[in-house]
Amino acid sequence: MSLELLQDIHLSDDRFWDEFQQCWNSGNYVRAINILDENEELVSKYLSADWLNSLTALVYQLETVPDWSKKQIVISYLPPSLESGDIWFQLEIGDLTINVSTGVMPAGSYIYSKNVNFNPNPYNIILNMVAFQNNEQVLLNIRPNGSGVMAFERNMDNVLEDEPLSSDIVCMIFYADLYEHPFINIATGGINVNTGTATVSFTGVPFLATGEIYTGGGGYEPVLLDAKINSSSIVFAVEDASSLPSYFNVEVHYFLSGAFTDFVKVSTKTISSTIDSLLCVGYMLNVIVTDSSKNLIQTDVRFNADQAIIGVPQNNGETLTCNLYYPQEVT
Amino acid sequence: MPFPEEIVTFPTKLNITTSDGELIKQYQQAIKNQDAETAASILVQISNYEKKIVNANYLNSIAETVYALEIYYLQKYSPAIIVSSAQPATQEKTDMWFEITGTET
Repeated sequence: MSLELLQDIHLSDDRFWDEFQQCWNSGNYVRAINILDENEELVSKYLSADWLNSLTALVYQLETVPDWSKKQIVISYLPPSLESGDIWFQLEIGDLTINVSTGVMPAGSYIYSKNVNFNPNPYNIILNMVAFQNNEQVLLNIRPNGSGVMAFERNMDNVLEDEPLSSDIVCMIFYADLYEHPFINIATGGINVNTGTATVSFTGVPFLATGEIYTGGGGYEPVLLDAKINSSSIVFAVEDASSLPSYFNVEVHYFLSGAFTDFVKVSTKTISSTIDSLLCVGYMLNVIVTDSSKNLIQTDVRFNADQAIIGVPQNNGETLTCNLYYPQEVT
Repeated sequence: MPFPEEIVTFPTKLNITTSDGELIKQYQQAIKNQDAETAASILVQISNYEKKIVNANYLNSIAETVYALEIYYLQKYSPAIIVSSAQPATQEKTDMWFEITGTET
């Protein structure tokens, strides 16, 4: 909104002034006012109600303008689409994951197991293990369990071709409070005692696989598993199938709707080898690998705090697309 | 109460009309005669006279509010900082700011 600037009466306007005075003094008010309205030279030389109202409206507008722009500061796990000058607040999982145990894996070890001391109630479950060697993060195989013995493993399959450790590493275990952030079981299957494997189909996007042994009388005991997660199935495996009992139960979990309601693709990469990696953030992740026809490809994925290692056992050099996902909390 | 403690509002003004002419002429004559009492009695006979008169109180109210707005915006938005590595020099009581503790590329 802008205001037309007013002008002083000039000497050249004297003829209008004289005529206006004569009309006004003689009672010809219609003609007097018409003189002001009809002569372009006078439009900006008298004070009208419209002009005053425009002035006060402008002042009022300035008084009531919102203090801050309506632009919002986004709070999210990952940077949103930003323009120059925009800021965002990074949301960290923080209180969802807790370091419950730290141990040391001796140099040269392939497998390290330790008893972790955390509350073994059914609402707590292991999410991730993170290991450091000389303050550098190293890759470990993740074997989530319900409670009790946890395994930090360095050499689980031939695809990833892990090297023995050159020095001791520090292992950290994180778990989620399922009471506050509940999971739901979306699939259950049984492992073949002869092969030590099971394939469980499910719908939805899983992030965690657990296994437990039926102990009779309705009881279950957690067991270590190697789980390979794909988009619609999970392949479970145990190293020593001969030790399996006659009944073995495996489960696939995802966050209950309301706690985490969506998965967000955070990284995409094409690979043409049997092993590659994706950078990632967060602890609850999933990787889906597809070929050029968008067929799902069997993969072995190991998640760490900032990296997902992808092994593709049967890749013959074809270019594959790897999509990395993590769950987004909706509040 | 002046701005910014309160939002100052202004009355909507009206132009004089030809039907007001005679009373206005009488009002002007009474002012010329320095007869304030008669002038006041004539003034109130003009319809919506309070919306057709510009007095010092009205103009001063506008001027004071404009001045208050100048001071307000000068202090509030110059410099316009709420995210900074240092506390804004113009921070007032109850104002908040976000400290930049690091940057990522």
